[in-house]
Amino acid sequence: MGPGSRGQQLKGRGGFSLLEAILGAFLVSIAFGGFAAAWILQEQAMKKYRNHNFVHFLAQQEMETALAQGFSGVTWYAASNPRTLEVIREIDHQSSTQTFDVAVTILNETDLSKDIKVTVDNDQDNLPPFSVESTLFFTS
Amino acid sequence: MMRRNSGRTLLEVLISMSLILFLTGSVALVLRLSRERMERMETQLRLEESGTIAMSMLVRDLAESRQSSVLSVDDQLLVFPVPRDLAGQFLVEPDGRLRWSILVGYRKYEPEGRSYLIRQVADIDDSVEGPPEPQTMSPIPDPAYWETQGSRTRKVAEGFQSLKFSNDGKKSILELYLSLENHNRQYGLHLKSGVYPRN
Repeated sequence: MGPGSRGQQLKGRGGFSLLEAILGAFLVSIAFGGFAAAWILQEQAMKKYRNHNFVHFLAQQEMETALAQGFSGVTWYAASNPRTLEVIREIDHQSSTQTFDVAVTILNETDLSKDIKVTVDNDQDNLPPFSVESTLFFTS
Repeated sequence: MMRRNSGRTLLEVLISMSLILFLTGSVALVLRLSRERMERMETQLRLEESGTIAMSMLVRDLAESRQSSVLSVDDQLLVFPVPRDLAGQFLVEPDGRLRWSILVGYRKYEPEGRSYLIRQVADIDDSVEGPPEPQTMSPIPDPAYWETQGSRTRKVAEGFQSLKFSNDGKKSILELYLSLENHNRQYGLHLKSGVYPRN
């Protein structure tokens, strides 16, 4: 073989050293690990957002229901609470259950107005109870 | 000179091509998974919103009714009287008694293969004395009657499957099951709550 032969060319190019290969593998694993962590965090954030959204929506709906009872009816409605709403979500027949405690309380009551508070408590996600408040006025 | 710059070896080209293919495949997979997840979330939120609104309406209507007057037929039809008129006015007689003027019916409605829970309202015969019992209601809460009722109809929730009503002492239990299919996946929502018909 001559000086420009293929064998000498390959011999002259040393390729990657062990250190470079290890460094490369380390960087790739960091990239994949970071991606997996971001994916898991995003999944958790979405789940939390979904529950958060559901709790807010439920509280607003309960407030609507309480206000619809009228000035005298709301006292009875508050007394019949708290009620528990059980929610079972299914995807392809795989289910997960969650419960929400919904409570309606009358904070201040006069002959002309009632301050109503709706509180929704969730048994998961360590979210603090969410509440909305409104005032119902007496109309003759 | 040309022989020295011989370019990449076949092995290097193959490795780089497989790496590019691997990366492209990974990106495509991530995009597909993200899209599926978004659709899943969207369908679930739609179901939850629909179910919560339906439950609120049911709780609101049932709260004004009487426990013994509620009639449930095959978990598909729920009928009960409410002391209001068709305009929504709460009706009380001068002597303080309630006047039961309308029947509220919740039932399944399936236009073009899609399933909905609808709410319908019908007048009760004024001759009924006191809170009507299911058997003495007029019109009789026969599913066939509600099938032909077209007026004052309102869609409440989509994907309706069943609506159960049962009594547990003074409290009643209401169970609503909704289900939707999206991209060959089945999504279900089961809501269960206590209700207190007070009149």
